[in-house]
Amino acid sequence: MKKSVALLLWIASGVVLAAMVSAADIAAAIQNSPSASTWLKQNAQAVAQLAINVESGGNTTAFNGSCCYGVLQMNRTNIARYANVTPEQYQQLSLQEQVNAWTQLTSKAMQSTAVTNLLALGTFDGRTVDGNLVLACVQLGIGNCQTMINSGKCSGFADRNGTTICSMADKIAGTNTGGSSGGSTGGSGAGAGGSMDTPGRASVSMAEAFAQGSGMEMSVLKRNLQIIGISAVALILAAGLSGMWQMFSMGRMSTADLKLRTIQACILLSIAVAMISWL
Amino acid sequence: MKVAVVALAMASSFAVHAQSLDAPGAWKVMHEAVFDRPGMPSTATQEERDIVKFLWAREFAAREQTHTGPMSAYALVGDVREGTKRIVFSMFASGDDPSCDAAPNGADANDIFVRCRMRVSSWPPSGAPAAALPGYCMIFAASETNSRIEYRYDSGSQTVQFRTIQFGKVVPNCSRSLKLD
Repeated sequence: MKKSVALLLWIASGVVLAAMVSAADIAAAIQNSPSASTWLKQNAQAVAQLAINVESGGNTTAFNGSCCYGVLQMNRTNIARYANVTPEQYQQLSLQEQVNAWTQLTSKAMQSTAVTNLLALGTFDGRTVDGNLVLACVQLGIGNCQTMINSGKCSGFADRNGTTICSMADKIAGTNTGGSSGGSTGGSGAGAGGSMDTPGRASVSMAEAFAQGSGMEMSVLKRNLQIIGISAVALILAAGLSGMWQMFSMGRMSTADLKLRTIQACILLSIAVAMISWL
Repeated sequence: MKVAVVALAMASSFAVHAQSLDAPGAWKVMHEAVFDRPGMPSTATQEERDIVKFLWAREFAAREQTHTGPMSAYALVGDVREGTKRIVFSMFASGDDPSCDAAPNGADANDIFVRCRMRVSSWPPSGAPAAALPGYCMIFAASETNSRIEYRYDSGSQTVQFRTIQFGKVVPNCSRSLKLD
């Protein structure tokens, strides 16, 4: 009984944790993707930061509540076109399969006029056109990106949440100031806005700075903390179950009670695992 | 110019037939034809599927191949009939085909529609080129989301109106009117 409960707990933890991936995993998946362009492979780390810092935190089963699914929050319309599966099936695909569909879409979008124009500009609205800005351009839709380019300003396009292509680029780099559109678009008039990367100045992202300072990637630390948290909950429950087993052995607890308590413990662990993984 | 060709044909036809079979105000849902996507049913009739295959034959044949066959394709189709005259509206999306933009990705994104070219064609084919109108909203493979594209024909103004219902709500930026004269 004890062994089977422990096995159940271990499986429950494993199922949820399998959905979390690190920046290194994502970068490796980009490198291994047969549909990834040379540019994407060269910017694999930026794609990983896009996934970790902006889209999903590395959760391959993520859903934003409306359109988008997976580690790179691919739109269900794009999933239908490129992955040939339902959004729910897409959430269960491996990281590599999710990345393959995304790179197929993105590699093609990289050849669009909007992206070509953006790259040719060199600077846009006072900021260097770097890999993060190009990725944000593609991720938010090349039609929207062209709208921004035509306006000449970062504020030329914002989604209904106020996210601009420039503010998304800042989030990818980990330099977002916390404002939605205001943080990145407001600087356009002044030209020397706080969070904007100025030409010639190297920008180090929060994730990179953390990795340099701690010797560990933020995503790896997050996963480790999640494992510790889930293990702690599992240990507490295992101790409780062990006590119940002793009571059962001594005849002070009925079989029905033992089953009920075990089921309750499993449900409690599942909730705890889900909540910790969600954080 | 291409629109005018189709529009004039419609207008002349409708001038003869004063009454339209489609009552003004009655919205119709554009039917969805799904190709090479196992397990996903079409709402389009077999005839509509055949029409789509004919009207989008070049794009249909040019689809990229996967290890299991051609990439899946999705089309929306609707029509306005007047006597023997029939005008078909259709949109097509598949993989990298440029008929439609890609939808925005992202945790902050909401929209599931994409902007596509709509083809307006007389049916049976008259030999005149179909009109291709850019910027029409298309939603596909999303039947469970209470989302669809609807259209209605007003014979008085000879106008076809299109609207997009996304998650049960009309998307104002997607509403279009197509005058047929």
